[in-house]
Amino acid sequence: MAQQNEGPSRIPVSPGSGKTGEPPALALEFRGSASEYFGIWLVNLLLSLITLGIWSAWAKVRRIRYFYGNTRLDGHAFDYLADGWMLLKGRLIAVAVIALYASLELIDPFVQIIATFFFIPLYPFIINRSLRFQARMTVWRNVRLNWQGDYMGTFKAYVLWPLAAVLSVGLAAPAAARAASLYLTRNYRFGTAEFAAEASLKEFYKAFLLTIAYFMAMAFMLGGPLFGIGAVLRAEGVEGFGPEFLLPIAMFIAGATAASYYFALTRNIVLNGLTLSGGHGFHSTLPGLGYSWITLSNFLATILSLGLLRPWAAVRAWRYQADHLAALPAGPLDTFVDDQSKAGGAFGEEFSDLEGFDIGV
Amino acid sequence: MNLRGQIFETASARSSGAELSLRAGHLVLTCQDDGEVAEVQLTKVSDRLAGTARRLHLTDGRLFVTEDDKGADAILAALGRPAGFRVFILERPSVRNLALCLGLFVTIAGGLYFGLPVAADLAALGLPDRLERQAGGAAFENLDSWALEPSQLLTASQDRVRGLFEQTVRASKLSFVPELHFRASELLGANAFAFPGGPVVVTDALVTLAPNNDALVGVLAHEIAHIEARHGLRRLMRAVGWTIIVSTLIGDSSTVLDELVAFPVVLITQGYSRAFEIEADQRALVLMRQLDFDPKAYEEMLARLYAPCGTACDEAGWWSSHPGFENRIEALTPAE
Repeated sequence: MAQQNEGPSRIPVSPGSGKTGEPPALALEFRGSASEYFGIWLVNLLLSLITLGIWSAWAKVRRIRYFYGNTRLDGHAFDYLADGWMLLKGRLIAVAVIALYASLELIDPFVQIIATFFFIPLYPFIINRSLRFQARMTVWRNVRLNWQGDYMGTFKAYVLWPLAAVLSVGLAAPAAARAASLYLTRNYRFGTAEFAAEASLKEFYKAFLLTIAYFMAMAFMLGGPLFGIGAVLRAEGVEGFGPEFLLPIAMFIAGATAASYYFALTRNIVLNGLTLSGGHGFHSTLPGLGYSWITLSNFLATILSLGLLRPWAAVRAWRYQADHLAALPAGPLDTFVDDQSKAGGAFGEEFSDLEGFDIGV
Repeated sequence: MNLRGQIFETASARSSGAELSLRAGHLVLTCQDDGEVAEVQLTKVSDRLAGTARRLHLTDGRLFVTEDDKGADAILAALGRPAGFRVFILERPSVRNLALCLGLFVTIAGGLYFGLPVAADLAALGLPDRLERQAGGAAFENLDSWALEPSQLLTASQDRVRGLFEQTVRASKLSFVPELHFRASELLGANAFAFPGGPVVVTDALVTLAPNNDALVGVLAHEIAHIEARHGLRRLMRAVGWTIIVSTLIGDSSTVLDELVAFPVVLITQGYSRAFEIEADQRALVLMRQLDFDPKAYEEMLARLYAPCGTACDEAGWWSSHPGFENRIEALTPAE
């Protein structure tokens, strides 16, 4: 294993920023490899199957630790501190809650509807627990992240704003996305150090319009040919691959790649407007087209290889993100101090995981 | 035995070079900056994982981080500490490990392919009848509320069908008589379906389409066979099983696009569904013979039901829930 301790890699942000006094940018560096992760992935898969899913808690720890631990900034690696027991406990409670909820339908669909209304006010609480747990388990240089959002704030950002976005037929979607990401990032702490976040509404709307244009272009480029192929197959008497089957697939791919295009654009806006107390900034240059291509090609590779290229795809996507993110330190990075507040249990985290919530940066 | 690394003060991002060494069975920390030499004790040590640094927590709150996995393992072994998870040995990319894992993978995949239906069926059969009937009843009420309308059939013909239904149930292995409902539905056309544990729904169009009692008994026997063999619940449990496995498989998914990978679950369960239809067809013929109805009438009834669809429905696609017409006739022929 190549583990010589190279010095931190320092690259200038832009050709013009090399003058004296400007702090150099610190590039994020990912040292993982597809072959190494393939072993971890395969063993995780096998052990999860053999143990009927129980290993999946440890599998998650090893997966996240592999990606965090091989990502370095200023020569220091990130790490993930959770252990399998924590996640297993949270997961068991989450599974019990979900099973209880599902079994309500057997008793009476009406009871289940009532239960749903009781669940909605619980969501901000669960999201808070999840974000806090994730943050407290993430460490760099012996200092952990923290997340300090409160109930009402989360309710506004993750329930009211999305509701407004839906009610406005999507017109308020960029404003909702901006509100949620500002709320999210402003409530992170690195140890005791606070984050400040700024993002212009105009830029969010610009990203949104670009994404709509992107979607239309993709839908046209994929939908046209696939519709034609479907029509030809139908004429040839091949059943099951008609236009009504292929066209929704084209729309799905266009929608999903457009989502990763939007993700890349908004991530840049949010991270470039983020500062850590002390004036440390970030520089995110994730290309929208590039990242959506990574997503699409990863998907195709995973499908065509029947899942075997999944580890390669995961490493490739992570590396691409890491390669396009740098820190802009305003001074020494060893002055941070951790605070000792507790992480709380893993229930929120595991519940969100099982229910497929996707929150975080 | 020396282990080089970095020492972090409690809750601080400041680190300095340091060394851990074993002296006469004691763990000694030597700090490069201030020349401190002190005996220390370990609390938590992170597991070994390719490319990641090892974190050795000290009882005094400080943290020692090292890239030297072998050195750390040697010191832990010398201290007599449990080695922790040794999974990394299996995870290392080597031809031997790859062969081992792929061999295991094929074994497990094969075991799942044959074993999962058996295990899911056992789970389904283990569920209390009452629960199954409640689930079936709830599903029926749901469908009834949006897709079905009251029947326009005359009471006389309803009674005739009900009589045939009860006669068939008595011939079957069912210990209870499932509810039978008559409904009209433009959406579903000539159709009959069974919910887990009953009820059975028969549409007006189906009763009108049937040329004689023999044909009706065939269709009713097919639905009763579904309830008898608990096909609905078994299909559900098998789908749950495959969903768990596939989501374990793609547990590290991060984008919307990856959701499509769950597609195989649908394909697999539709395969089960088609197999259950064939099973119910064959059981229907047995019941018909037992009751002295003409089995040929069932084939004719199937032909009538498939007629509007034409040749397109002769063969089933890999995503359809029912077998094609020719598949069904073929499966019925050897049984005669």
